[in-house]
Amino acid sequence: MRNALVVILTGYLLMLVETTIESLFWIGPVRPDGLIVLVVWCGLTTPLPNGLAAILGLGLFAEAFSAASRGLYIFSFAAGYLMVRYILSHVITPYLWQRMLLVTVVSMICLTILLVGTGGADLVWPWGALQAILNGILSPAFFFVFDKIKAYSDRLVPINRKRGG
Amino acid sequence: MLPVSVVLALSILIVSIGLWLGVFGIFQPIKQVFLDLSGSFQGVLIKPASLLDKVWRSYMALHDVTVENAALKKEIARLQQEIVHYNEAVIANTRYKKLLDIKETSKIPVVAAEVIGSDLAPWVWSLTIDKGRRDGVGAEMVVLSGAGVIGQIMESSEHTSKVLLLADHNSAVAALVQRSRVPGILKGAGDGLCRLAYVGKEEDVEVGDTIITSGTDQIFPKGLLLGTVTAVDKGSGSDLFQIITVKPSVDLKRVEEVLVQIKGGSLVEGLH
Repeated sequence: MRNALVVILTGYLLMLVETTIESLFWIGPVRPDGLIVLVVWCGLTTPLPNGLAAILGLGLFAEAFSAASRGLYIFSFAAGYLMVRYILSHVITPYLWQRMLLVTVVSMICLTILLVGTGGADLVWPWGALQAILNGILSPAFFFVFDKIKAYSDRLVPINRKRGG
Repeated sequence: MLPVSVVLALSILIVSIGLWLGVFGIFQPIKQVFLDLSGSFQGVLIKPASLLDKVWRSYMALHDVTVENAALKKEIARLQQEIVHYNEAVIANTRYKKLLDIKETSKIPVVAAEVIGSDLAPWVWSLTIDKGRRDGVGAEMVVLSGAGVIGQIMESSEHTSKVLLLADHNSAVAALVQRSRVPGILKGAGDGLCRLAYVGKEEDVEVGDTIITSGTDQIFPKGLLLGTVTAVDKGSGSDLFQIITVKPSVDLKRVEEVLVQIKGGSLVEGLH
């Protein structure tokens, strides 16, 4: 459950940064976006059902920060998360390039759902694809940050393995 | 373990559809408290970022030129708005010159607000401002900045409001070509520009024409500046309508302060 909380709080901080600081310095339809990378990271590190609960919280928060059609963020994040879990049950992705590719593919799926749902289907190509590639390229940096946050939270509240953590 | 996951997955589907259908109105107060809380965080975060942005743009990009340019842009924006008003007055005066009983347009109070955040999705054209229901700001109120209209209020919490900008796919404003009085609907194109829709091929529209609000949508008062025509495509023989591209009069990505036209009851707080 703690992992779910880490995901939700990290996501909330990302949303605050992306809607304030980042928007001032970044113009255009493509910009660094850590949220879908967070969804993939959640898929890689947090199994069901905790991961899905985190995605529900993350999606609800994202809804509040956007004027996009209601329910879209929750649906697309859940689709992305379940896709990662499904892929992980068939393929092991230990290498960084594999994870970058995974982020790109999942980003493409999530962005297609979001863009089509908000009436911006014409932006899927090329902006959606470019955003997905950018997410993939930047994902190692985001993964590093998320891992550090998780490690910090583990240090703050150590898991009591005797009680089943 | 599986049943819990299935229940959660079904819950997500139900919540998504429920949100889309708008059946969770009961949770609206919780959302508004969340929006207010986030709004205060955004307000804190945007100040140093905005300051840094200003420093970058003024000192790093030749201080004097930027300052002078900013002053001139403000002046141009003011003069453009004045020209639109004068043109509108002249056209209206000519058309109604035989009428003696001229009604004076009622002045609507405005509230000044600062932009504290943009939309999470970069392709969704919306902003968050630091004025909400407490200041009299509510849904469907007109939002102006500098030279003209930038959009309308979508929803408000106690201290913050979301503004749907002209360039968003979901935005539609009843508009008029100022010169030829051709009506149309100004729709957001999602790429920062707008399209003047439902204008027949035979209608007189040229590049450089000024587009203003027509007032027929009962939301935007008549005569407010919307933008300028940048391209006119008459289309092929079978097309019914022209494809008219309109550039909004305001740089929607660079808006920092806005004015909200207050409708309805009288106000005390936040009036300027």
